[in-house]
Amino acid sequence: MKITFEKFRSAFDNEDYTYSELVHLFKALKSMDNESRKSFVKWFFTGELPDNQVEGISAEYLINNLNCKPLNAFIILDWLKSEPETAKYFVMKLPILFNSQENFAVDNNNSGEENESDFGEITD
Amino acid sequence: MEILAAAITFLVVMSVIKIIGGLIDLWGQVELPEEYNVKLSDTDQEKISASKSVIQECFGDNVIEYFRSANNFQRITMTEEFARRLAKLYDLDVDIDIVVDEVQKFGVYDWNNKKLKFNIILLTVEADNANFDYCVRETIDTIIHELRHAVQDKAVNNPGFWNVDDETRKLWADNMMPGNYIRPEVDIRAYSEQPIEKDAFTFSSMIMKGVC
Repeated sequence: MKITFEKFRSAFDNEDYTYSELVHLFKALKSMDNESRKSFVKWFFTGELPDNQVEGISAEYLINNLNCKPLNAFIILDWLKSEPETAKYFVMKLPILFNSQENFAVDNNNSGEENESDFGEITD
Repeated sequence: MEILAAAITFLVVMSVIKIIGGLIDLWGQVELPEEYNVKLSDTDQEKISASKSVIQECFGDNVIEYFRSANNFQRITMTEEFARRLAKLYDLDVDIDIVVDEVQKFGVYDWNNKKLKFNIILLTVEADNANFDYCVRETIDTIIHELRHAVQDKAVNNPGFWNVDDETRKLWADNMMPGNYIRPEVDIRAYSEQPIEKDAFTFSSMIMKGVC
């Protein structure tokens, strides 16, 4: 199964993401390891979260207990595999980070100069 | 309505602490690995040492015990004093507000208006709470972290401030540009890797090391 950027953008356009954040997320999810990417693609098409745990926590735990958005949850689980100690530090910071604020200007949500067809696809 | 809001805030705080307590049970207290840290300058190292002195001046040799034995008024007053002393040490001309507020915002640096607001509601938990240490640590760490952002802001706009080199100033300035800053709720990994956050987390963790 494949996810184009167009499909990805369409799925998350109504959520609290700017265009540049969606571009960033697409690339970040695409660069996850095979297992993480497979789980994400499956969730994208079926809504089914992976039930595996990494360092003792699951996607469902991150979403339900730490108020992670699903895309962030996939990134975190992938990160816990590759850099567990750094990832754990920041997971424990999540309640503080989600409740702090840096008020930088967001982008103007224009498409920018990148060619979307160069983004490729996220595959399982 | 105010009582209801306060009750809801209390419940949310206790819920946050309970969840973090679960993670502490699972992982123990997690320190930031050395390999994450950015290289800090000699000026940074001097300020780190001086910041540790400010912590000791305000809270004594045992920060946790200070807060444990203090009442809420003392906790709030001394935390405010701590933030103001650090801001002075860092040569910052910023407004600082210490509040005990709704749980939505723990630390805010308003870059446009040079205002810092710290919600220290975590410090109002009971001294015998199992995760009291976490509450103290995160409050102090947040204050240091946000003040470091104020330092970055001033350095970007004032060459030579804190002897920050031009390459670093440019990195920070680029990160602050519209659309370049990555929010933690979007991608926490990329958030942690961006220049101004990596710098601020390195700086605060170096100060907090061995403190509490």
